[in-house]
Amino acid sequence: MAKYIIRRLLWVIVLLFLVSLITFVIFYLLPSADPATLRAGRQPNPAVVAQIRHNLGLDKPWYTQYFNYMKALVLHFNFGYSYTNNVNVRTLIFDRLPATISLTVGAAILFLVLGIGVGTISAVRRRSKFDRAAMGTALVAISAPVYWLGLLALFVFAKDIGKVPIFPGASSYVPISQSPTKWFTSLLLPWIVLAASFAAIYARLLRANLIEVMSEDYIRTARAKGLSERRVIYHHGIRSAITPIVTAAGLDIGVLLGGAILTETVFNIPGIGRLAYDSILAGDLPMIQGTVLLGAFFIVIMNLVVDVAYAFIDPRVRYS
Amino acid sequence: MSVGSPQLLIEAEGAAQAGLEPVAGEIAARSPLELFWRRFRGDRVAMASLIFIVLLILAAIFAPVIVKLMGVQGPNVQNPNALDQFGTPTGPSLATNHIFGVDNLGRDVFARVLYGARVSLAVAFIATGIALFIGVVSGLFAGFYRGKVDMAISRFIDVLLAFPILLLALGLAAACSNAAGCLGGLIKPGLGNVIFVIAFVNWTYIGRIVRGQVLSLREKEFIEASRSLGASNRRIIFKEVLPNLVAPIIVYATLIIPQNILFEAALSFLGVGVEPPQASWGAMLSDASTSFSTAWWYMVFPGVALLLTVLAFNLVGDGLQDALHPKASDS
Amino acid sequence: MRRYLRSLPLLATAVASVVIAGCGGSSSSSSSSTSTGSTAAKNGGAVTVLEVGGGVLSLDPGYWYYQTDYTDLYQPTQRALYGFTPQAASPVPDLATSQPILSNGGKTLTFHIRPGVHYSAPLASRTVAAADIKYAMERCFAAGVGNGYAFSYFNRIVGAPSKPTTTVPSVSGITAPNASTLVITTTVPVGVLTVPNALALPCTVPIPQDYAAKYDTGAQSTYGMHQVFTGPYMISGAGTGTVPSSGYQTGKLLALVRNPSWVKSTDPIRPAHFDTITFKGGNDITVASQQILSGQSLMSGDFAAPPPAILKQGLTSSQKSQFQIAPSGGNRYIALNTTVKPLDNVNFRRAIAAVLNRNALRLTRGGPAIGTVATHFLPPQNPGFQQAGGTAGDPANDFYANPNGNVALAESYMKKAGYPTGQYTGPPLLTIADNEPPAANTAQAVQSQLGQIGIKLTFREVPHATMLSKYCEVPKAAVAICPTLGWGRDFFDSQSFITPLFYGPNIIPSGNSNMSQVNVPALNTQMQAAEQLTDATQRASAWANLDKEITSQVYVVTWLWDNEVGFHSTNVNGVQWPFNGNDWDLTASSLK
Repeated sequence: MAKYIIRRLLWVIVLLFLVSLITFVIFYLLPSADPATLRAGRQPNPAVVAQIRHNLGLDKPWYTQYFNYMKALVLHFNFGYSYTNNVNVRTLIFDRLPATISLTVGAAILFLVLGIGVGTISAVRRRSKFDRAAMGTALVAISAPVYWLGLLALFVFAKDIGKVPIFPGASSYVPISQSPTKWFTSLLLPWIVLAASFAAIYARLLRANLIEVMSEDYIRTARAKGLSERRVIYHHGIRSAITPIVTAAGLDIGVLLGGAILTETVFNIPGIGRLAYDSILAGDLPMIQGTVLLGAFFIVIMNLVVDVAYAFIDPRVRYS
Repeated sequence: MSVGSPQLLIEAEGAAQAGLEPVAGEIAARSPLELFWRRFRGDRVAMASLIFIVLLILAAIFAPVIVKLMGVQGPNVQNPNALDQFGTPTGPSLATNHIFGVDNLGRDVFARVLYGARVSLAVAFIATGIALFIGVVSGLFAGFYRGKVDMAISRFIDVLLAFPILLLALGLAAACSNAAGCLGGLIKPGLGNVIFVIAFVNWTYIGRIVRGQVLSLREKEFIEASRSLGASNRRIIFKEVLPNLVAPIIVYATLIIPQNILFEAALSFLGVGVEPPQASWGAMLSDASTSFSTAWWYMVFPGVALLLTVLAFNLVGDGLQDALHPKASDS
Repeated sequence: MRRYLRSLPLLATAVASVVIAGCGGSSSSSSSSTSTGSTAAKNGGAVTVLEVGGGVLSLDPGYWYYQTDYTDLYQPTQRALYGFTPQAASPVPDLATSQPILSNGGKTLTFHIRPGVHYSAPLASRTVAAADIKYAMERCFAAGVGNGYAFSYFNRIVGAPSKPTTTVPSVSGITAPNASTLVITTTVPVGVLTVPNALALPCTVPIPQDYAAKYDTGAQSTYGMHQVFTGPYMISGAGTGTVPSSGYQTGKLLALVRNPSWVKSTDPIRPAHFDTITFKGGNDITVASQQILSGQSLMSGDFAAPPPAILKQGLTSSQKSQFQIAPSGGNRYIALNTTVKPLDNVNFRRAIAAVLNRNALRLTRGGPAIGTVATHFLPPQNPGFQQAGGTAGDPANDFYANPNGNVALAESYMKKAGYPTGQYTGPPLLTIADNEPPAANTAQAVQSQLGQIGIKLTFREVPHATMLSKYCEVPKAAVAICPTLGWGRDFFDSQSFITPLFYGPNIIPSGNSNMSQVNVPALNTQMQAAEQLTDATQRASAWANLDKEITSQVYVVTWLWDNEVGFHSTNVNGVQWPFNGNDWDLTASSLK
């Protein structure tokens, strides 16, 4: 097992290298803005622009630029400086990370609880009114765009503009260090909106899997042994049916940690997603590299975590 | 749902596993295709959704005719008289012949919703089609030939899958939004760009799944039997492997199409989708987000259109899966 | 989503819908609320300014050039040789004790420096000396400071470098014979120095050389993070010599507190009522607007106007008294690239001017409340405005006669331009526009209107930063039409309006403001002559004549004279600052 993990970790490093290379090529070859001109201020002297270009190292060939970037990254963990505002990329990213983590963790707890709960009840009471209603709602939740649901939610529930003002509106996020209560209430609506679609998927998935599992032989054996229905379901049934959910949740959380762009946008939460989006539009290559690498890192790490967790959950899986 | 979530992988794999049983052996009174169609037809919800989709396709194709028949102004015609002195739009009203109201440039929302269907459907079918094609071909090669080919393709897919998908799409779309376009002008900004980007980020999932299917198919006896009979690789691929992939491919398509519709809407929402003034539901939602607290119609109607379309595709997809592999214990 | 686009790109948004660096003028604020400062201004209290963009672009006084920089930092935290009060129509002495003493035919300017003006900690025991202003002006020539106007206005100072230097140069034409005297000598009389408009710009904010020199080495100066302040406010916590993150976080926060070293009796310009001023960036414009109107102690920041829906809601309700609408002294225009056929044909350009429905364009930004339909290039409050035709414009320019556009007239111009049917038959014209509302909507309206005479566009909407730095400001990109542009003056003199946009030698390969690429030798000579006039009336006439010619030639289609729509909470008394496009003067504003 240890050897497997080490092998996978090495591959993670290779992957991240490749991701950074591809990102660099895409945005270098097809940049969307000229950082030197942006930095130079209004009506710049051409010599000023040339000087800035030289300062930023933009007049060097692309492989030299890439090499310099990687050198700084690997040796000093230095992600460089943003083109648009001369801020240390690493500082800004770690500044924004708590907001994204807050959003992700809260939503994850919510969608796991909701998804697994609803899925289980639906499977156990299939064809009941609850089942039909739940699955119907789930279908709608996965069919609607998350940002539309967000806008609708704001339209109805936001304190400043909503018809039924219960929740704080967009732009009300504050860091937990500033005010835990405000932090919590400002994230409630985003958590619900973000969790809704995931919960729907997991509910459907778990329901389908659980139904399948419950018809297997060993479940029948367990029942025949005289175990209570509750024990049968929770101890044997869910334990088997849950593995795909674990995998999916792990992967989804990995993606979300890289920034839930759409949700952060609608609710104006200053997280990594919005940072990435802005930097793409501004052609801010160091910032783009930083955010993409961070996102990729979370994705591949969660991949690894999920695979390892699999080995513990499902005894049929073994890694050499 | 998070756009392009790897969730897709899991659902698709599960569904595909189910649909993969080679249909052979049993003596049946009806051919598998007939059975499948019968089961599907019996699913009322799925049939209704299918009809809805057909109607939507017709509406999209005949949009200009419908617009003319109803006496509504075209989707790009701006009517400043429908705005008040502050430039805010008027709402739905039969009197002004704007049944869904107007947007903040005085364009008729109903017409734009109708024309927006074209974009969503084009993306749904074309982008998915391209992604499927590339995915299937790459998955086939990787799974069948194994060895170096497999290594190369799989590793490449791994790298692409490590990217945060929306960021990758955003980046590509933004980069190709230059006036010159990408690939030497082949990919122009606008609808072409969106289709290219969506196909590019989608094929990897399909490739991986198909590879998995081909790998397990390879080991089955009927392949071995064919081989011992002296069949060439090409024959095996086309006559034995591919037909057994049809069912899973259909399943993937039904899962991916609604995803891609949402994906295009998301890209347009973020401003890197179709070029204005072309109507796209996602772009309309983006325009509406500045004024939805007072001009609700501009947000509601495109959103509902998106919801219904994606819902219909999802229901058809569910119906297809059920018809392909009926679970005895399901409702 | 585009609603939030606006709140993000740090650099871009600060420039986005806000007219760049407005400038001084008479305070003819046609406001609908209490007039500037006539109600009893309450001393004390805290105010928060909500901003949509990322706030200031740099903390370095040598870099400040945008409207936000001036409002947020320049007026509150620093003093310069000259300044502008909300009522001033011309520069008022701030660190100088009087208007410049001229000699040698206007080529030598002598200034006496006000004594007893202290710096903030850690230099609290030090007072401003003439040498500090000399150093400040010299460092504006260095590439590491990134100043954008030194080479336009100070280029005629004796010994001034002709291009940016790698280190801070020593300029022989700026001397400080003693601590309280500053002398500037120029090669020819410079109108913007003799009437010291250009000396009201932040390059004359004093900076002690021995303290700052160590930060001014290297590729980019870091003085901003370590600066000392002379104004009534300073960045919170900066007394240690370094600006802490509690005082400034890029794009998010700027916190100002009272500067203990500032002495009110030495400052004729700034009453400084508030105790603290906090700027919060990255807000959503609609949410921020709602909060300002319904909350307390809030003011609008870097957005020229609230979204039309909020504007409507505000102006049609009792919230009307919370708005202050005044001309910003800037305009909005559509640049037509005269090097791209057929835009080199004046009749084709006139056809475009004739067909555009300027009322409809104005409607995309909020209607009559946000500005006046333009009839020539110079906006109101600029010298020469009346002479150039005033509000009605020159009747000879029939293409501007009808603000709703005139398709028949446009077609007749098209025929003169060589299109016998009156409809355009050539290839599509490359058009690059801003992708954020309301600019995006304006651009789409332009596209639709041009279609009426058959003009097809290759139309692209891109982020603001891209539009400028990769397309419209790059001559090589050969963009035919840039429809979402605006311009503001630097100070109360029309030179800063016309020269950057229409002077041939100003065309540069990137960051080019002369987007129409006008290079007419007769016009160039005319502008050079006008620059050297020192008499105010003569200058007004000279620049008015240039405006007439530019308008008649339709190098750009000017469609709006902008208003600045400022608004605040009910308990705030906002005072607008005409020097800076009627953005707030936070040193004159107060709580009620």
